Amino acid sequence: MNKVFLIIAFTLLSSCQNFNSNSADESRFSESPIPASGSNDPNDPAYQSYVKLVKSYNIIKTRCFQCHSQWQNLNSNQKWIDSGLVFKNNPESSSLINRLKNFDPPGDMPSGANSAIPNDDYLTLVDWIESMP
Amino acid sequence: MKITLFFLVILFSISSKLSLAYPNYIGHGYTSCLNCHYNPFGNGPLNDYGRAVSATLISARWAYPKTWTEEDLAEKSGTLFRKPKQDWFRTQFNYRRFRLTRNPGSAKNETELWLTMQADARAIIKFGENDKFTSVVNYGYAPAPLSQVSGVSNKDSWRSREHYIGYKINPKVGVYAGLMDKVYGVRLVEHIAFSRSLPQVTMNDQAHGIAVHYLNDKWEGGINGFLGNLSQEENLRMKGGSTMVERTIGDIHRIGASYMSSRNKFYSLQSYSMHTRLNLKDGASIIAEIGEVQKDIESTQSTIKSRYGLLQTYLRPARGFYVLNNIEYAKADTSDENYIVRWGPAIQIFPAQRIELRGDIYNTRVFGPETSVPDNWTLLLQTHLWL
Ligand code: HEC
Repeated sequence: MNKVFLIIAFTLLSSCQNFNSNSADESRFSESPIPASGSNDPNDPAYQSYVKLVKSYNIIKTRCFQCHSQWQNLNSNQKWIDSGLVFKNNPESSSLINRLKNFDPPGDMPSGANSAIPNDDYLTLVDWIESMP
Repeated sequence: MKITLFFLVILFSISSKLSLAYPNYIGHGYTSCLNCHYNPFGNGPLNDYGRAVSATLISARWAYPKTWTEEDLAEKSGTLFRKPKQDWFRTQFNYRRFRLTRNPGSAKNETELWLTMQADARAIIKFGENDKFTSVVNYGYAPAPLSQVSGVSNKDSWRSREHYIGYKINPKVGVYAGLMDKVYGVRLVEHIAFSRSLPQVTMNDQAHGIAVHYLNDKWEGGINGFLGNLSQEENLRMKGGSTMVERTIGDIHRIGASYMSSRNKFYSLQSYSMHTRLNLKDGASIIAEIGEVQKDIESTQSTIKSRYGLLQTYLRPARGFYVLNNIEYAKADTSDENYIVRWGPAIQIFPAQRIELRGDIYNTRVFGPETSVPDNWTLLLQTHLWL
């Protein structure tokens, strides 16, 4: 019978969950700090720009907020511009972009031992700033 | 309309008397998973009988001397090739490795990826006649998800896939408690199937809970109450219940229906489906499932409905050799015009006990009034070994 208890104890210890169908629910479905867009017509430029903002915000949230928590309030394009981190339509001059390890010449963000952010994420950020209305 | 069509296809296939392990082993006369698996709803470790079936019915025998009888093969089906000396303890190892090639043959876009899909170590303790009491532990490796979603770890991980205790109250009823796959639909091995991903019953979606299993001559079914995976953050855990009922028709086929209702902090999910498994004899079979999933999202007070369909046919030209065809349909949002069709043939070979080789071709295509996405081809080669 001892063996049974050993095994049961093992099962209780060994469970550690990394991801499943629900892992991203919070970032996908929690209340977004970004005010909803008036339309959800994929052809509407206002909606397209809203989607870009939401995507970029979520990337920055995942990759940068742990150190740059003060950015959480920047929930509109205008606020990003006012913060001085973003130059409208000019990603190269925006420190949000040119401080990244992905940039050429490479910057130092995310700082420390963190690796550069995924290239897709980088391109999303660049495109967001480039096409800002 | 599409659903009607779908059923017409199925009806046609029955009436034209085409002939049908894994759920497709209904084609060998196994209507219930219980015969071969410790978990009566399938998946996870095989019981001794299941291992013998896999050695004598599923796998080819050309690798063995002609003089060996089927009994000899069955004798060798235990872990480490021997018959266990005791009754109460079993171990198993299960390993799958994939080679995934996207856009094969394209000079520009071909990408290739190797990944270990599964490396599981399993232990089973059992007592009593007909394994009246079982305790199953299944600990294994989960590769990082391929599609990177923000907020989700993209590291490989080791995790408990299942751990539960089962007790058969009588030959018809069993009760199971612990971390298990949710009882819902056809438990296909193709974990990327829309019929698995949309209702959230993939290979990583086990939940802690209690399941009751019932089986008699005509009916088989189960009820499952679950609290989500307790090792996951509380607000993400899907809590709720599900049920699946199957009826045997014409002695050899099955039709069934499932319902699941669950919720976490962010949304509630309702899901229902109908399925059928048809025995076309000599190992051939048809599996079909259609279903609908409804998500009611808390923060936006909105509802998204998705729909899916699946039709798989298995033919068995020779022992150890299956040829299959897979057609899947998914509409992620029924209010949207876009839908996805994924289809393709596959071959599955069991050259000897404990070895499965499989090759799948998937063509995925998005249909919609304004989509200009080119269709996408994937070649999936897979080696599956178990001890
Ligand atoms: C591990 C912590 C850490 C992470 C993660 C991190 N940063 Fe930083 N970042 C810092 C520190 C510390 C400073 C201040 C020191 C400096 O300016 O060099 C800083 C400064 C900056 C600055 C200049 C600040 C300003 O107000 O002008 C920018 C721009 C920046 N980071 C961008 C990013 C971006 C974009 C990301 C996400 C991709 C990121 N950082 C992720 C630690 C981090």
